[in-house]
Amino acid sequence: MTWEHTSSRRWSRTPALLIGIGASVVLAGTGLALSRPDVVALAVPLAIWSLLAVDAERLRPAAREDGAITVRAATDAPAVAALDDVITVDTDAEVAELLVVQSARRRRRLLVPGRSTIRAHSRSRHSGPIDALRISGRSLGADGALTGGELGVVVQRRAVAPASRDLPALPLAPRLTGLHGAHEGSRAGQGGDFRDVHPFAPGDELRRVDWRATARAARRPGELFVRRTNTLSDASVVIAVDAADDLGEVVATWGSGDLVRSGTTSLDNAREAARSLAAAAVSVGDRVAYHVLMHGGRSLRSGTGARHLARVVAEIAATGQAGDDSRYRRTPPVPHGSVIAVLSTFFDGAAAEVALMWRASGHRVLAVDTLPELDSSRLSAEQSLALRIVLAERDDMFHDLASAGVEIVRWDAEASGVIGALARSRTGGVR
Amino acid sequence: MSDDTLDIGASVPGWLMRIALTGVVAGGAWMLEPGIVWQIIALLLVLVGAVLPQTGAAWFAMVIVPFALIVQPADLWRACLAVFVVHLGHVLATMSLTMPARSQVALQALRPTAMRFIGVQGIAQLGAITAVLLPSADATGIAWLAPIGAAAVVGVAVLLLRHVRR
Repeated sequence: MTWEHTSSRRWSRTPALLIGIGASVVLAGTGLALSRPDVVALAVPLAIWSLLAVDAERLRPAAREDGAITVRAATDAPAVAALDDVITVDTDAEVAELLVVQSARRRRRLLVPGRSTIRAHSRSRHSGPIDALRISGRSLGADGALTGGELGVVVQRRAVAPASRDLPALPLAPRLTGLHGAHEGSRAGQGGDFRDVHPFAPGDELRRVDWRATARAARRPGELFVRRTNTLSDASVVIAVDAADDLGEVVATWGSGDLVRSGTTSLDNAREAARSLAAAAVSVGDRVAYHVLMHGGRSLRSGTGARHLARVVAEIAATGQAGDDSRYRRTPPVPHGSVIAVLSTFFDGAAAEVALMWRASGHRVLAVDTLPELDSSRLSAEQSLALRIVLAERDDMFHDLASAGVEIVRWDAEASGVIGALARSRTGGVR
Repeated sequence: MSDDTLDIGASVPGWLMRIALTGVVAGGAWMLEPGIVWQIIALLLVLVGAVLPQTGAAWFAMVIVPFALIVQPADLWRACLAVFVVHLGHVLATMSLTMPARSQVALQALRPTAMRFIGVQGIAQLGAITAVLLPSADATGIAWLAPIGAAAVVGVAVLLLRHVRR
């Protein structure tokens, strides 16, 4: 904030100041001419008011007061649905006029003291990145007779974390790796169930010698048998989100960017599904990688643990619709033998091509359909026909995916049960 | 509870300024009794000024106030009322010009305006009382006030215009 006592004029005058000066001179002159002191008295308040107003001009705010408005989150906790922010205005002007846009939907004009604190509360209907507050303003002086420069534009961008759904189990990767985790591996090791009784070999631990089996099966002196168990392994889960489309329940809002009337959108579903899959994977010790399939999309390499999950959730919350509407989808590198969940609306076929390519490479691929239940009311006959055509094309695409061994899950209320059933089937890895 | 709220403390809607402007000017015109035609003209003009402040019609409506004083003999309470109406009307018209009707105005933001109004009114009402009472005491003995008053008007005008030109 800068205030200058210079000769350069920074305030803009409204006509009210000149009207005040002119009216006071005319009233005084008229009163004197007509010998009416009561009329002259009318000029007194206007003359004093005008003098005070021109005197207020001497305290000049800079033409532009960047930094006069600041915004901070009311709490340090990550935003879930409620967004609480504190707006601080710090300018020497009498009044600050603010234009506040909350959650990109509600515009309000406020006139507050030059130094004031405002609490803003907003409830987000969508997860993901959002302009929680967009504030612009100007300073006012002398009852609004003087208008100052702009106070700058401040945007408070927040990332709203999606809700998480409990998933009972995830489909298992065709190839398990590592010596940790909760999945029974196919190799001999520690932690798993009984595997077999095997002749003692160098490297076997003495405490694993099965004396009963040795007494029963040993054929020559010194021959020992050990009990072997399976190793426990972790699986690798890759979550790939296609952020090309953000389509709401209300089909009439598609392409309008209207997120107020759109209802739940496909990216809302995608973010919720991604977080649920990541949480379920990390809870059983699996490694999780996260990729946004668009050009320049963010990637998070495989990892596990609570801190890695927090990083993944932060990336998911920051995933918004890609501005690029090209058909290109990048194919990030994924660990061998992963379970790959491709989250998309599968409208333009690009995500399906990526899923088919990964499936052909031997990965177990889940195609998670994130398109919400559609409300096709308020559509014209032509629009309804167009919708039926694109949905029919989408069904063809799902048929092709299923033929190639890609498992398809629709992210709706029954998604948890469907994923649980897939986890029990253990068929996904077989080609 | 609404999805989006802003807490600025006690506040009033911006359109209240325009309602107050209409009330003050129309009420002043009614009490000062310049004549029914002028009262109707004042009401119409202030309504236009309240709806479209950029037209400046509110100030034209306030011309009725000195006119109402001139057409009748000098009177103390009328002079005090006229000073109050002209000043408050001017302040409200000024605020209506820059404060949108659909805005929300924090009462704290109006505090400097209220303090300034009280201070200016104190001086102006004293001036009005003096102006009305002094001539009635001895009108012939204060004729010398006229040229001094004229000089004061010219002085104030020059002072204001010099400030404005800077």
